[in-house]
Amino acid sequence: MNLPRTALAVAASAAALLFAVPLVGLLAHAPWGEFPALLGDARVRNALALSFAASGAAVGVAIVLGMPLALWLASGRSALRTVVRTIVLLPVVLPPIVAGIALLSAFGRNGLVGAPLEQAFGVTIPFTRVATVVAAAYMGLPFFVLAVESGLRAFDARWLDMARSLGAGPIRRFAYVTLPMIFPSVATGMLLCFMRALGEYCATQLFAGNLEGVTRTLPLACGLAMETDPRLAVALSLLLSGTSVAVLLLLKRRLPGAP
Amino acid sequence: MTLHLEGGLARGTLAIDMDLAVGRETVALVGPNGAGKSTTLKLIAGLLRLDRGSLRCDDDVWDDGAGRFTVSEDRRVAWLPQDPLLFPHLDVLSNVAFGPRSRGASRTDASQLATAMLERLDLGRFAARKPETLSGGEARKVAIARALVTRPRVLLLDEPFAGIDVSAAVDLRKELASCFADFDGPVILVTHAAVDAFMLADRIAVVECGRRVQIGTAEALGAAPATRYVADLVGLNFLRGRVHDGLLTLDDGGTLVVAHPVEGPVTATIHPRAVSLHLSRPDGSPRNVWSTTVTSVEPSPGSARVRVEGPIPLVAEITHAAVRTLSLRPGSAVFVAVKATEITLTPV
Repeated sequence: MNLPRTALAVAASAAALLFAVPLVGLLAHAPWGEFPALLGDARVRNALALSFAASGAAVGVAIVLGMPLALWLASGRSALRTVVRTIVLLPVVLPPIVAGIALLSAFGRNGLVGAPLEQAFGVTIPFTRVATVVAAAYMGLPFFVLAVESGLRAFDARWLDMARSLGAGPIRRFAYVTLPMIFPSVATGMLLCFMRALGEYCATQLFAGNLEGVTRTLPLACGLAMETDPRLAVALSLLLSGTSVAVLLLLKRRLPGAP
Repeated sequence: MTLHLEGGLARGTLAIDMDLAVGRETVALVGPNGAGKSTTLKLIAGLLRLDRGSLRCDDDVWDDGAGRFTVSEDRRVAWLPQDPLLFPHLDVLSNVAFGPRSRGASRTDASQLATAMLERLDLGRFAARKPETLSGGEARKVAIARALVTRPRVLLLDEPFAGIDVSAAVDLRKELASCFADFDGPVILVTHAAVDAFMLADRIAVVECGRRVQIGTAEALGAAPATRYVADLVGLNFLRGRVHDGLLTLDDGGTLVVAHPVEGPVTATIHPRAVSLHLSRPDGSPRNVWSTTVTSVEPSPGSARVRVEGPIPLVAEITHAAVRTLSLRPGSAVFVAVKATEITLTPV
């Protein structure tokens, strides 16, 4: 018997179990019979709708703002790009609570941008639906920018030279050559952004609050249910897990080691 | 319709300084790897800018090396790089329709133009195929259709036969010859194969180290090759040296008796058929006779090219029968004879 190989198998199995056991626990506790009733509740449906709307809007923000940013980041190498990229990627590694406090200090009623915004236009962001989108976009955008930038960097610029020589202007080159050819990266970015936004908890709670029907997203509803109705919490957790698994299956072909 | 390019650019180790005027004709750019042939095509296509000099097509200044620059999409130059670069996400028809669509044709018109062009090049059956399903030769032809359908003013081809199999190349060569004949403008063809240059081009421009060292018909190049590369291209022996009193002293060592009344530095060319090989010292009219060793024997249709080593390395072209009679093989000892009158001298 090969000792190192056995040791490796044991260690790998332990690691795999570390991830599998909680999932099995969730499944074991699932109140399967009561699922329709639990998930049919108006508050759950509200949270579900809010979550998907906020995450969808975050993906929209990523496309509108993140795409130009990724194009600029991929268009060359400079110190400024490195600085900007670091700032954009910060939310990936930042503790979500810090992100929430940072968002409040910027867009809160007394915040750097929030205060003048309220004085000048009477617009308040925190504790509104807009705030759930801002928090979701803040956490999700980096994944989109990262995926699209790496797609653009791997993209062979000779295709653009060819399109150019055939008479295509910059907009046509982007829409008909670059975008279709990097579409796998864009789709990956959109899915990752959506999932990160869907799971957002801490920053949303701090910045958008936890108002039933307004800012209580699925994770917040889940957290609250844990204190009042654990069976509901498990049901919601399974719902979120199901969504995540679905996304992983969609991404499967793009993960390393896929057949 | 004439294309004028004077000047060039410096990029890293490559410095280009070109002087080229191409009318309604096909000019082949030939030269060693890294001589700047592909870069020259990119300059004309508008994918690179001149550092200095000018590029004009008739009266249109496309690039003056300073502020004036016509972007590639407004030049109508068909650029066919070595890799056909068919858009992988579009089928063949949409690839060919891409140019007309980009230039404002409606979807229907572009599609009709593309279909007609595919039919003209006998590619109609590929219309619905994706580029990845085409062979190298087929992809190359589709790329040509895609370029021609935009009614370009100038046609640029970079190594059109690279990486495709021999029979497909024969087919493509015929296709290109008829395209060039129909095309009403300058055609510039980059190649490193002399045979393609001779078969397809009206004139040959030889590029070395970013410069056009010679331009002319194949005959003109053969009559007075400017460099060793040009001589090799046309299959001639090329030597450099200095003539004094009817005696040519070669830069690389050795002397030859010459017949032309020239003095000073010259380039000398000797046709391989004018070099004769003997097993014993010939006693006749040739003024230049020396003994040496055979380094290689390369058969070619109708004759064989025999290389001999120093003091003066030369190529001799002799019949296959002669190779057998003399039983020549690498290492054979031979006498080389060259008549003084067969050495063509060009003062430099």
